[in-house]
Amino acid sequence: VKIGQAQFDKLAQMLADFCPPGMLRLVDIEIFLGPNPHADFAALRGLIETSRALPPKRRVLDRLHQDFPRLFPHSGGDKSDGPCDAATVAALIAKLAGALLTEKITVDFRFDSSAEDGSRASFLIEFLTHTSSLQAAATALILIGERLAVPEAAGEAIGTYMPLLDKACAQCRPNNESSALIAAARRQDLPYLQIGQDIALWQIGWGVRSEQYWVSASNVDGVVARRLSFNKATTKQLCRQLGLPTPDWRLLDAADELPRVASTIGWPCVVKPADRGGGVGVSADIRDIATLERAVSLARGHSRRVLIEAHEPGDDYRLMVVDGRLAMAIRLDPPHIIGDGERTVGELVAALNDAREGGETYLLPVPVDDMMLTTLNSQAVDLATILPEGKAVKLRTNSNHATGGTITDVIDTVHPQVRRLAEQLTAAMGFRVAGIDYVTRDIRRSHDEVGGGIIEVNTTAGFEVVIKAQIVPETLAEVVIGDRPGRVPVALLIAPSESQAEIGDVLRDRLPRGWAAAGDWARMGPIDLPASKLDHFGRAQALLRYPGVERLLLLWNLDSLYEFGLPADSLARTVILGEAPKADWLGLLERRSARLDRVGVAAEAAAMLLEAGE
Amino acid sequence: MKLHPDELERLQSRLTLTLPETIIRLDEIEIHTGPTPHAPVPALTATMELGDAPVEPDRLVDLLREAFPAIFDDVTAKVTDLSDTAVIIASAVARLAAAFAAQVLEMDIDLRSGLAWTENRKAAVWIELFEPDLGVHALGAALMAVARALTGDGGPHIPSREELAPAGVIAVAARPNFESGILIAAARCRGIPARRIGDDHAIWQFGWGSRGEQIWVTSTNRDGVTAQRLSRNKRLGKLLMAELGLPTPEWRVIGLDDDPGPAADAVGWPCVVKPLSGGAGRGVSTNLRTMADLQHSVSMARRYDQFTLIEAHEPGEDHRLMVIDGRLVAAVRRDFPAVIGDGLSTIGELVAELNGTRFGPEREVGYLSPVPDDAELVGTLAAQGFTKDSILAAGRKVLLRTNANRSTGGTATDVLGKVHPQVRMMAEQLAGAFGFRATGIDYMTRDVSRSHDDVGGAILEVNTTPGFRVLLASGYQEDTLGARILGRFPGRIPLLLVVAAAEEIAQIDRLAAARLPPTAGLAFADSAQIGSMRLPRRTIDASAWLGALMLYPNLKAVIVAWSADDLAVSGLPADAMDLTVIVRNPLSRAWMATLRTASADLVCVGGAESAVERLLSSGLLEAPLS
Repeated sequence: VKIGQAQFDKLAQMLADFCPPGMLRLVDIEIFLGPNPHADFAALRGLIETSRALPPKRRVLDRLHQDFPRLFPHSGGDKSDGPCDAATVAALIAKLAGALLTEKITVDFRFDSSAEDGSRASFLIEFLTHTSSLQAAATALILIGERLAVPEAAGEAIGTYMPLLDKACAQCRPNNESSALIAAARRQDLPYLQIGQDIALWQIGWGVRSEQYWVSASNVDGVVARRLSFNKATTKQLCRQLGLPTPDWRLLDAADELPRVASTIGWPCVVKPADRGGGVGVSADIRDIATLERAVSLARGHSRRVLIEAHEPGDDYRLMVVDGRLAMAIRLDPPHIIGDGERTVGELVAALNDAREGGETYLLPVPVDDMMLTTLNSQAVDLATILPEGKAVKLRTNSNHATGGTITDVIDTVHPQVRRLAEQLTAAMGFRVAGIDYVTRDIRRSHDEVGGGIIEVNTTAGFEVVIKAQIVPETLAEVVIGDRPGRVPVALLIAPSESQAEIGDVLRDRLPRGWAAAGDWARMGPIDLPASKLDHFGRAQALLRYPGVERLLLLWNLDSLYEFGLPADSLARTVILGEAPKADWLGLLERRSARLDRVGVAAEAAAMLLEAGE
Repeated sequence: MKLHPDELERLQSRLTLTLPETIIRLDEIEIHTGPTPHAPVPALTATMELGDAPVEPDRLVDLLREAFPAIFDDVTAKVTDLSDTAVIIASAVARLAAAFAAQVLEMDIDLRSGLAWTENRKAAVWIELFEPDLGVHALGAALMAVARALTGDGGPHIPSREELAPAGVIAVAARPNFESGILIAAARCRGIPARRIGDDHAIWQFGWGSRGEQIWVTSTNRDGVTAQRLSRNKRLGKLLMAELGLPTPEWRVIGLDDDPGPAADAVGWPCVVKPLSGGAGRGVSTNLRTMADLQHSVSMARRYDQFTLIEAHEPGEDHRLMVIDGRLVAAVRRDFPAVIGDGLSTIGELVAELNGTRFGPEREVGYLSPVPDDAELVGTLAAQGFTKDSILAAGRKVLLRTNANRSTGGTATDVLGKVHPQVRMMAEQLAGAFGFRATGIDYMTRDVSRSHDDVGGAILEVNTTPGFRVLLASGYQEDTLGARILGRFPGRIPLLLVVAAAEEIAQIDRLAAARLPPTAGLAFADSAQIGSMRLPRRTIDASAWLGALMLYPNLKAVIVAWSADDLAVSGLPADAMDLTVIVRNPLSRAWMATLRTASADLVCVGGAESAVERLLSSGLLEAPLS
């Protein structure tokens, strides 16, 4: 697909603002939505021309290293001497664009470059969406152009173009869990599609082998399960009905007298909004009426429905169950600081948060808020207290990761009864993937021995945190995807325009139920889909989104092939009627098709596509 | 089990305010979660002492008939001894209590009731158990109502909803939500057990164990969470429709600070305004033709969401297509409310006549709502050149509203037989692509019997629930819709009962627990086991342990081991058992008869070992562990 002339001109002009066209010129940009002769994946390809002596490679690399130390970890050094040429420039553009996309979209983007004729070269970056890919290409072009023109310039292009790129990428950056899932899908070579341009809604696999994910929940997780887990009081009631342990609780009415309620629940107690997640408004280990009253008003700030719960002694665990089996078990500990005899609590907290904000750590800063002050207060310290050496002080009563808790993997030590309990609860609620919050003094021993209680069940298992923290292997996301998603066979028939009507009639007439087919039309089984504005490629993608589709037959011509690239990254069968594609395209089709035939008769071509077997 | 003494006392003290103890004294209330010798269903049983009635038996029967004609038209036929005032009074209390409870539930079900026994001046009556609280309060209301009828205090009448309070108050929490009520009634007809999940009035489990399904309103766990997300946000839904290549009207989304004019120009006039999220037609305005109307409509929509959807107005009629399990199973066309002239009446009179048939409980008026007599009515008539005083020529039809919403008088027509195959396929495929097992799709077309390629049309929305009311308004039966949603999945799993003395039950525990296949459950009065996993011990009653097991979806059969005392306290574990094994018969003749009626197969054995052998080799469980 060529981009619009106006868009291209604008891009060329933006580049010219920073780098004289005589030095670096954009010749062409094209986008392939599927595999193409230049790359086995969807890609944006730019052709550049350099025509005048360029600065030495070393200087450009030094400068890039200075601007983007993480993307270009090595300076120019001595070895890369000599002036830049077109191939070098294209390589730098590709690398920068790919790295920027990878950083901003949190998916590993592939990139490539090659020398073309004369002083021309091409760069290529993996394509995701029009806006993000074009913006990345433009940004990389301009930044590199600016370095070529004036290596010592202050780099004003960064300030102008980086925010635009950020914005373009934000619209297609998968949310945290989704990006872990997509990374896993890519490792397993599974196709994926964004749904409704939503950053948390992705389809993995095609047709009957597809599954839709929303964050870490999929369409196999039931809506009833979600509803049951949404309100903690409902979840707890269900636990009761299931005969599973959960701490005593009461939903607070406005009229309830707190002292009376607290005495029936017992001290210490926990107060939380019944229908909010992420540890919001939760206070634990409440031991007196004054604290209780504060905790209740804090919780009421977040929800009408406030729950008071008996404090279950022990540590917090998150047990994640996938497909009826315990897949992850971690202990969550509240954030704390340890005194050094010199610094105040406030200084220790600031140091802790500095460390967490700056580095690559997965741990989140601990907010300095009323809840922290209350927690400190209950330990008889405040922000100004100088802590004696070795003295540990909790900063929060809850160990929620979102408010700064720490994490330890315990999967190998979970007692079988606790494991079964988690697995049974997940099944009884109707979840495929769920994260159960369980409190016990000792996860290695049975409930009958040491007690324990189910606190709540989460739909968003939060596995992306533990994957990033490398506490559990990244294969966890693969476990979540499971073995349902995959490809359905896609067969492609390339035929000249004059044969399309005849072949279309045969395909439509004989299309089995469960199969889909598309040319300038689209059909599922015996019935046509309404005419739509989609192009050839969009129509193929659309049909792969229907969960009833077992196989897809596509009737294309050479022009659509050259325009879009292959309709899918792997083809069960390709049939070519008449004129052969260009050599590089034919080679691509041979590589990407399980079987390729060339025929001369339209009826024969159609029959081949309709053959059931491979 | 007996009602808690505190609760009984509360009820008694409330009764003494209106009820002279010389007429009726409530002694005891027992709750059985399964059949007993005196009641064939789970029941609440009240024992009462009856004094001298102030009137003769004949007069008593007449009084009750007069006071409660709808309830007592046939009660006397069931009372054996019409000369005994005690029997008549007790029977009346039972009948009334059941009727009151059903009335409060607002469901299309009858709750059964009857006389358990009489002895001298004592009588026990039972009413079918729905929720214990509801039963207790309905009973209290019935006692008071009978006392009023007898003493003429305040005049005999059926208590109003308010007077049934606190029964009414309790029922607001106890009453299943509208759709759930329809499903429960359908399940009852088919012998499928239903039970509430958690404390939610809209989540019920139908069936047991591996044949159990949780249904929230009309959604099951086979409706995916992604489906819910996609249908709740109209923008996402419409984007997906476009990605699927399916027709949906042109649209734009605007924020709080955006001018709606350019968006309307972009999608084209006339246009439609909707809040981006939310349902049930709230904040929706259609067929907008002027900037003033647009501005006004947008400000209405902004009450519900900060984002507003502006959509091209799709000409044609609104259809609701219900898809379940990938098949279109119901389709209705929504019609604007209209009247047809007779050459004599004014439009105002015709509207009044139409509305006259639509006031009352929705079930009785066919789920149709009156057409509001408001400015919109006047405006709609004016647009057609009429006023309310116009006399309409015979056969002339006049629209009363420009929307077909049922809540403002719209009607509906069943069109399932006419839906064009292409439209049917679109609906079925769309439901699948959204991830719905059960959904209602709004489709606009000029003619649903023709293809989209022929007459155009567009999908407006995919809803999380099919929308029972509009389907009912077109003539679908409640039971049909309920049965459609239930489908064939929910049902029972084999239930086996062993009745034995305490020491033998301990022995059965030792022998059976170790050999239980992983898909079988074992419920005792004080604990329960799933396969080899004993559930953590807690103090809940016998029927609660059994109830717990029935919620686990991996269980394919359940064995209940109870003593004769447990049966006396709880009643039978269920209304039907596949096999009952009795160890060294500890039961009365009455209980044996009850068990025989409820069991497909009943055997008596001499000891715990042979009982376990009989249970494990019954073929009702998966192969036991050796």
